[in-house]
Amino acid sequence: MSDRPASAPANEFRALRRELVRGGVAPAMVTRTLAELYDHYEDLESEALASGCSSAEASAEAMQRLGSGRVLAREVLSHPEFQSWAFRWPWVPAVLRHFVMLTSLASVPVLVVVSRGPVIVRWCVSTGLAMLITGALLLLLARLLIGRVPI
Amino acid sequence: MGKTNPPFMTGVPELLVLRLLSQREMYGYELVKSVRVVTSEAISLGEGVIYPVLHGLEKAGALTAKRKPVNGRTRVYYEVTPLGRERLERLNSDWDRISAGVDSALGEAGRV
Repeated sequence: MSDRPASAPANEFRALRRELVRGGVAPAMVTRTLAELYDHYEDLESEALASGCSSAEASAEAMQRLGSGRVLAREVLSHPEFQSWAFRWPWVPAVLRHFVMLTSLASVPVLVVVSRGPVIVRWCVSTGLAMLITGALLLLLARLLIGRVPI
Repeated sequence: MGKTNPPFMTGVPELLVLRLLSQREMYGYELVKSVRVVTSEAISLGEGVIYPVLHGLEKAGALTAKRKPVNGRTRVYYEVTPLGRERLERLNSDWDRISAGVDSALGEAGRV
């Protein structure tokens, strides 16, 4: 309700929002319910103002007709289908979290190799070249010292 | 909230909502006003209680909701689906059966 004017009975709506969130109602459903309740409140307030009430009286009358936050929260929370899946099946996010962690743990070495491919190729080529040169030098040394290539 | 309704009122708001919305689409405030008129204010609800009923029926596929701009504001209009009409027929026949039974029992009790 943060986008609503300050004249609104913001505390009541905030308390209701807190209670619905705590009860596991899906965030989209909380937002929608509060938006519709607020529109209803505005209609009731306009009706009361048109009947000659002062602004404060109109607001109080509108809130009284809308019903207490406790009753509204109880009615919304009596519908389990409004609850978010994470609230209804709390094991699902835990399983997903573990799956993601294990997958990333296994894929990190593969990703490192793929992302540093050119470096690894250069390292292999230079190591190979170094081995060839070392081998050739050893062969040359052996020929010079012994006079023949050792088999 | 004014008068409270007795516990056997369970299901009545749903029946009234479906009955009224089967005639034409309405938004929440309009619907509550219609409930007051058609029941001659015999049924008193905390008006906000209508929204969980509407949202529950929508989730069950009995209603559809549409946003419509009206006088610079966006209203959520509810309309009964074919599934909602079937549900209304079922609720109507349940209601007829129960009220006939209760009327009969009350009549019998009066004669005893």
